[in-house]
Amino acid sequence: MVRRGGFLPWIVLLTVLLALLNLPLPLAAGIKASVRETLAPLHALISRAGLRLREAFDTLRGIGGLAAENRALQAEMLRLRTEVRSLQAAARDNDELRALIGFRQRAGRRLTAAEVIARDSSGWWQTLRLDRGRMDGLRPDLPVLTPDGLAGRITEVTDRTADVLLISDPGCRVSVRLPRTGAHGILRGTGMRPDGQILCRVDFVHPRHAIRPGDEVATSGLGGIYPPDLPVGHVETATPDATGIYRTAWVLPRADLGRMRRAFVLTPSASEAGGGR
Amino acid sequence: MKWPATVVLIGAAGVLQAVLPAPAIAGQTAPPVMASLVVHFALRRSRAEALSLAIACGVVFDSLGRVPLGFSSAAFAAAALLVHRYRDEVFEWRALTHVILGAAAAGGATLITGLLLTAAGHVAFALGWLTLKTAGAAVLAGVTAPLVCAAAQRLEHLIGLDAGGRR
Repeated sequence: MVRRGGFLPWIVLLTVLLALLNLPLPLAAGIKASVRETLAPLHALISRAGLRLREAFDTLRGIGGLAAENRALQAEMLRLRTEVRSLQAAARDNDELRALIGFRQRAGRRLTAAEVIARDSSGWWQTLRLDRGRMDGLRPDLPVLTPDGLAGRITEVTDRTADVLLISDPGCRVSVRLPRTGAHGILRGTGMRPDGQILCRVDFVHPRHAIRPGDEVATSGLGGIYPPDLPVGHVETATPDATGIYRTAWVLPRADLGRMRRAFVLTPSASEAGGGR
Repeated sequence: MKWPATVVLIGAAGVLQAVLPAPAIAGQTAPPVMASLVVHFALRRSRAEALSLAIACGVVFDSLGRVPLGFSSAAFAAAALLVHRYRDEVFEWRALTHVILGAAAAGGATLITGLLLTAAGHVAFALGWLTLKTAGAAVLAGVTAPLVCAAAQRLEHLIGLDAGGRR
């Protein structure tokens, strides 16, 4: 096996491998960020090309149904306009009442739009990568949304990219509540099933709360990462947990986590970012 | 010209794998473009060179995902050794050699990475999931490896890297 070159090349390779496996975390993170930054332009280029191709394909496929889709969208727009008007009125009432009882005006937040440029290619985690990063004001622990509901939170950022841990990942925990019953619990992911379905579980729900299929699940605002009342999903089923003390609710996320192409990052307003809380 | 072209090839393979869809039925494994490139290097280059490139492929692959640095390098190095060991056992139809060696390399690399991640506590051990991912990677590599090997070979031919043929 080691005839010509002797043992030296093998020792060098083994040393390199062992060194890589035992690098201090900050150094390893630095190397990973440098490689990712170097490849970011190519990454964005290829993923945008893929997105345009997919959109063109979708357009061609749906060309016959455009008129019907247009009608449905107009109806939806009308409904949403009506809803916005009623919500604006409610917000005005809310602001007046808050001012009356001396509540601090809740600071508004900005939404930063981003495109999904990649998913975790190893498939061991439920993560994706956005084409916005530190240069766009993103930082770890900011919530990520889709128009339908909560998608996850940012875990790592480089100058031009941000990695998002989705709520479907077993390592993601979100404090949630069920507005109908007022029940609280901790939501965590269970990964994606082979049939592509994504279900999350809400643990530690007190059994006195009667949970029903279809119950809405929203963020509770506890924990400091996610603001309250972001829609998360709805309950599919609820079962007693292994201890029998609590109940576990199985939740179907509102966001289409398996096919997300765009996302919004909830960034703090200038006053919040500057510490003006 | 040789090394810059190789670096570009590795980077492009990593990016391509990151943007390709990962089917749930294959354990959410994206088509193993990088493992296929490792197979190509193991088939065409000397053992030491193939191993060095496998380690480099691992660094790029880990950098583009959440896998800790070095895990994929170890897995790809083992896959490169395996392919290099059996590269003379070829089938008459060359693409079939790529299919079989690609499947073995990608399946093996996924299995080794999974075991390393489990041992280090980064993911919880789930035999069914690990089996699904290993099998998924092997099946996908059966399709990807011949394509990647043919494309890489064509590219190397275009820039004059394969003048000496296999080493």
